[in-house]
Amino acid sequence: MEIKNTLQEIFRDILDIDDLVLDNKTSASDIEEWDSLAHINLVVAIEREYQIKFGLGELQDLKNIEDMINIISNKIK
Amino acid sequence: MKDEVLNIIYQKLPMQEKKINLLFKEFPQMELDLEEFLSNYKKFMELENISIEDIANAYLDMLEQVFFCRKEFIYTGKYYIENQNIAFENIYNNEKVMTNYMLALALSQFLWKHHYQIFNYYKSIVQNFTNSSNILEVGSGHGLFLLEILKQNENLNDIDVVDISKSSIRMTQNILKTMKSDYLSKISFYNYDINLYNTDKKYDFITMGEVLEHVNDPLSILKSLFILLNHDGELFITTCANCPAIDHVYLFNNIEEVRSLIKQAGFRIKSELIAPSTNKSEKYLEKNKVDISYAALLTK
Repeated sequence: MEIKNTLQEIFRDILDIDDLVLDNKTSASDIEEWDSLAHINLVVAIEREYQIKFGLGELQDLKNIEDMINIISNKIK
Repeated sequence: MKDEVLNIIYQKLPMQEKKINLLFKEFPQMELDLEEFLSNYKKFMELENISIEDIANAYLDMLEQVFFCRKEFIYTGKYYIENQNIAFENIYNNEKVMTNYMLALALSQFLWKHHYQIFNYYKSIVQNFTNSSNILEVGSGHGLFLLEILKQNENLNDIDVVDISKSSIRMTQNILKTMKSDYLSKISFYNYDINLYNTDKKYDFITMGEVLEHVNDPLSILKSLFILLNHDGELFITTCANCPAIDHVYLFNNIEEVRSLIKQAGFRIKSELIAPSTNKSEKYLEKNKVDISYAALLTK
């Protein structure tokens, strides 16, 4: 829950949508502003927030919020 | 052919499907232009033994590189390489890498909004030259810009191409060879750095697409072109701000910096096009350092 809330704040900031609400299944196809350019900015903001780095292979797996939460939890264990 | 290429791209990068479908909706002609480009390139691809998978993979590789370079750029505020010689050794001088890169860039003319808009702006400029008899292109790259001049101006037969990359020249020659038999005979190719290109000739029209961001000293290039341009000639340039790529070395932080360089070299801006890669507010573009393509028609 905590990671999801943090992600929500990051997404709101990067995508410039103040009232955005994320759930586990939210994916790029649900949010118009989540395009490939925004994706890079989101990835960097997440890396900075959690002081982690995603590998190139992992980046393609970040398809929805649940994927993101899983990968982040594994990295910050 | 278009669907085959796109399906390979979508399979590997599903996010591209959403982006490209939105673009085709916004610019219905884009889809048709993509198909036409691929069918025009077909003979060239056969000649060079390039398959549909190869062109799709070249594009996917470029996206991965752009992703990597953009990430670095957001972290550091700088481009990944800072010396043009490194780009020359790693890319322009490497036959295989250069061919793939040019294929991917050619495809991007029909899959990236800002590239497509710039290309259309260029097409409108080179339609039926009335006052130009000789033409210089600096950096022919994937050959698409040169091809457009040839297609629109059947009577032109004094065209010079100066390119620092042998691979790029070879690729352009092969593309032209497979398009129309007399195209090659109209063009002289010179494998030079434009600053070292020595001629007494003055050109009526010079075109230089995406070169300024590839060199350490773009002002010196513009000054060289100033000398090469006729007193009433026109120079068409394109470049970009905040556009990290594996071979971009000179960072324009905004379009005003490009304009300032143009004026410093002595040119006047006759018309221009500013094309951000995404439809977002000014605030968003600045905050996220979104890449912006720029094209301008310049006079003395």
